[in-house]
This record gives sequence, structure tokens and C-alpha cells, in this order.
Amino acid sequence: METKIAKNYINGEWVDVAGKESQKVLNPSTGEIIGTVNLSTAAETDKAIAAAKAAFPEWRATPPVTRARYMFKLKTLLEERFNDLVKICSMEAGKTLEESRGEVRRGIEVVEVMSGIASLMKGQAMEDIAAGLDCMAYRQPIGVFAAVCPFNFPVMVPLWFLPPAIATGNTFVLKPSETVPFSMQLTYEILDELNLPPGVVNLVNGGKDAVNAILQSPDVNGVSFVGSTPVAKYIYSESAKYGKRVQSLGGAKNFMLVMPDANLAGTANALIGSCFGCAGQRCLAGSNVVAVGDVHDKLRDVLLEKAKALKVGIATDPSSQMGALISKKAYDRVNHYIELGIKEGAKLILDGRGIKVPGGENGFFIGPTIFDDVTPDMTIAKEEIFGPVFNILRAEDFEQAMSWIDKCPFANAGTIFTASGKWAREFGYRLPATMCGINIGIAAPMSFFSFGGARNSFFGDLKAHGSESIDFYTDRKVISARWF
Amino acid sequence: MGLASFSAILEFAIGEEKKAADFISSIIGNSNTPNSETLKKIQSESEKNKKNLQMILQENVTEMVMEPCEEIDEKAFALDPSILKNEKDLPGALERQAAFFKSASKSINLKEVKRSFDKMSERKISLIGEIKK
Repeated sequence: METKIAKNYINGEWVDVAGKESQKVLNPSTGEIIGTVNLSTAAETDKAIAAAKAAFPEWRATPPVTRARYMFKLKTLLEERFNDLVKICSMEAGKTLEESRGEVRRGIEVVEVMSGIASLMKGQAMEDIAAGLDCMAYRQPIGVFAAVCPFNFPVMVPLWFLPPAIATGNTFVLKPSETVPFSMQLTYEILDELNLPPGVVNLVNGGKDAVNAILQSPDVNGVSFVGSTPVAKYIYSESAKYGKRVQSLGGAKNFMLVMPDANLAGTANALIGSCFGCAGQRCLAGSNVVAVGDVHDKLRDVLLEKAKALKVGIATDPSSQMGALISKKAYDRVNHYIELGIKEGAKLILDGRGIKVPGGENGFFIGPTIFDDVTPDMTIAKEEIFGPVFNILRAEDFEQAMSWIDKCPFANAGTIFTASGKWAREFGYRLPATMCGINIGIAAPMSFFSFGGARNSFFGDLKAHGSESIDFYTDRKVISARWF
Repeated sequence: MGLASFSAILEFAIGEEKKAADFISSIIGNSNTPNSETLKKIQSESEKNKKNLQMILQENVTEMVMEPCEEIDEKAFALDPSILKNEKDLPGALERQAAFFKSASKSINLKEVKRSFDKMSERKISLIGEIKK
């Protein structure tokens, strides 16, 4: 099988990575090597930043309506290459075709929203704020923005940031995850077809050296990040140290409350999708399912039945409903948490370890796994597992469940399943997490709303996409004018 | 085998439209039928449906609910190319496709998709009428 080598895209040109350190890119479903990524040095990253800086004056002066036309064209090209993107995404991230379709679609939706940039970027104006004095507030682009992206959404997350950054008139440097570089290779091939001015969009493959070069560069004005909480904290503090804007999205431990009056069939479907979609490797994955009152036994039985029926398989097999974990390291980590759960006294009612997937003997598979009788003090109830494992906890009532949520250091998302408007309202009102679902498994805001959590799940002020991204990528220039 | 997910249903539908288009193409190529204009129309309908179905598959995000669909029995609707021999077999094939779209429309809980499936089903039925004229 022919393997690929990821390249950088700098100043409108594809260039080989000169860095000597390299990493193999694996297909998580089979363990096969599909390519290599060489890790860019700080000097190579600086070249991308310099190209972005040089491109900024011309790009910011490009009329928003012209930039919007680039967005329309980008949408068309992404639609044309949709299936190619889906295939690469599934191949390198191990997620099912259906999941990859979902993520590419969600990415395109950001481009669609940014096609309206001429309206989104409008400022404010008022005559006669004092006698003969007028005032205007323009939204101005700032300069060079960078994004450091995770492995779990190789297409969607970069598209949370790139379209709003350039639509608002900034220039951009992307560092994709070195585990999944090829989705962005194709995306940048598409961007290359757009004929943007050189330097408006740049791609740097790399690891820590590239990230640090971005964080420490005086020429980068803002950074977006999605990943684990420790790294999110690091990105946030380093960016702040160097005077940058930053939006840094971290990990999660999402609670799903099931009230006794919940519609069990709908709830179970939503929970299964939430907990096992993308093999649990997403920051919106359901993790702690809290059965409130007497719903526990019925809920456990229906979840068990549905989880057992899921077909775990090779990502590119259209019949697969759940794919593999991203790497051996992830596989070992999830196994470690399962062992820890058993050791701490949780009851393993569905064990996904040792699952046999035809054709995926060397893949990183763990099947759906469910723990029952989990208590909030157990490690598996407190830490992010990032795998296809969920816990069932029993709460006496709503208040007890909310007290557990209140103590959780993460606050990304939470959901309540209930037929009661009162409980739903109360939950939405009191949930510390800022993405809240009511009878929804994955409370993922779409591209015209903002995405991001609170507490240890988010560091920064302005969140991803939606109107907050326009705020993030622009500054307000207030001009007070009097003419004599 | 049952079709239990949105994408399984859509991929099946796309495959069936391809089979139908190939079948009609073979009839047009092999006979001097007086119905050639109608056949071309039916073939172009299948091609158009295929494109629409591909867009539906591309544009609807369903991975968030893993089991949104009522299962459909694939065997009940699949066209069998080995028994599709000539023009006489076409109305039966179209009826089968119309029934599939009707059934799929009930199974998928997305309004726009239901509307497209219902329309495809109605068009197939109306094309049967045109052949029989």
C-alpha cells in the first residue's frame, strides 16, 4: 500500500517539511501505516506566520462581499469533494462513514454561515452623539490568527476557525493534529483551488515545537485550541503571557440526567448515540448517566440491550455503527479506566474489552462498555475517559443529581431527559455547563450559535463559531468625528 | 437484511436507482421500442433521483442519533437484474421502487427527506402510467 507524506502549505505553495522528527500515521481500524508526518521546526512555523503577516494588509482591504464570494466558492468545492473528505476522515480517525459525513457537514455549515460575512461584520453608527458629532464603530480584522486542532474531528474543528478568521479579513495558520494530518491536506488542496492571495491560509504540520512557535510569536494575534484540559490550560496561559487573544477548549465529563418521567425509548437512543458515537472520543460525549428516582432498572435494561446490538467495525464499512479508538495509547488508557472502575467497586455490566472485529485484528477497538452502581467519588465518574465507556449512577432525586454536577470541575455540556417543563427549566437554569440539552443526547450548538464550555472545559472569553467568533476575530474601532 | 440506518436506506436507494438506469439503458440499446422517448425519460428520472439522493445523504447529519429509522426489509424492495429482461419487466420494477420510497418515507423522521421520497414514489407511479398508455 502506498503511503503518503504530509506537506506544509505556506504562502500559497506546497512545501516539504524539513524537520527531522517524524511520526507514522495509522489507520486506527487496521493498525496499518497510511502515511508519515514530519514535524515542522519552529523556523518553518515562523515562515508560515511571516507569510500570513505579509498577506494581511491586502487581505484586510479586500471588500467583505468579495471575501464572502470566496466562502461561497469554498462551500461549492467542499461539496464536490465531500465523499473524498469523508473517506479520508474515516480512514485516519477511525470513525464510521456516518460520523465522518456528520462532521464534514458541520464543517461546511460554518462556511455557509460565514458566506454572510458582509452582514455579520457590520458595525454601528449614530449621528449627533453630541452637537455636530457623529460616532461609528467598525469591526476591524486584527492580523494573524492560528488554530491548534485535535485528532477527534480532523475536518470539523479546523473549519470552526479557518472560515471565520479569513472571512473577517484576518490571515490564518493551521496546525492540525499530527495523528490525523491528511484530512487537512485535502482541505488545503481545496483551498488552493480558491486562488486566495498567497499567505492568507497556511498549514503547518508539527508537534510541540510548532505550537510553541505559534504561542511565542509576536506576530500571531490570537490562538484557538481544542484538546485536553491540561494542554488547553497551557495554551491559554502561554497565549495570555504573550498578549494574544485565546479561545481554548478543554476536556469534559458530561452528565445526562434521566428523570422518572422521561420517554425511555427516545432517551435510550439519544444516550447510546451520545455515549458511543465517535467511540466516545468527543467532548460532548455522555459519560455519567444519572438515573433519578425509580427509573434505574428499566433504563439500565434498555441501554444494555441497545448497546449490545451496536455493530462495532472497520470505519469504512458502511454497516459499522461504532469505530475504533484513535491509537494504541488511547486504547491502553481506556482499558486502564475500565480496570480502575472494577477495582473501585463499580459493576461492569457490559465489557467491551477483547472485542473481535473482522479485519480489525490490529485495530484499536474497545466495544461498548457500561458500568452500573457507580458513585460520584469513583475515579471513573470524575475523570474524562474519552472512550466508549459510560457510567450509570443512581440519584435519589433531582437535587442530589444537581449536587454531583455542581461539584464536577468540568462544565462542558449536560442533558436532562424528562417530560416535565419544570425540571427542564430548572436544569437549564442551574447547569454550570454552557451547552445544555433537553431530551437531546449531544447538545452540540450549530454553526450559528457559539460552542464552548465553562470551568475546566474552556479557557478564554469568546467561544468558537456563531456570533462570538466574529467578536473573537475582530476588534471594534470607535471613531468619533466632527467636521469643521 | 434490514436497512436500519439513514445512510443504509439512502445508499440502498442510490444503488437501486443505478440498477434501474442500467436496466433501462440495456432495453434502449437492445430493442426498437416505440416507447424509446418514455424510456429515456424514465432513465433520466433515475439519474436525477440518484443525484438528489446523494445530496440528501450528504446534507443530513444523522450520526447524532444512531437508530433514527424503523427497519426496512431490503429483500422486499431490491431489484434483481437477473430477472429484469425486457420492457415488460419495467412496470414491475417501477412499482417496486415506488413502494420502497413510500416505505422509506414512513421510516425516516426528517420532513424534507420524507417529502423527497414521497415525490419520487409518486413520479415512479406516474411513469408506470405513461408506459402503459
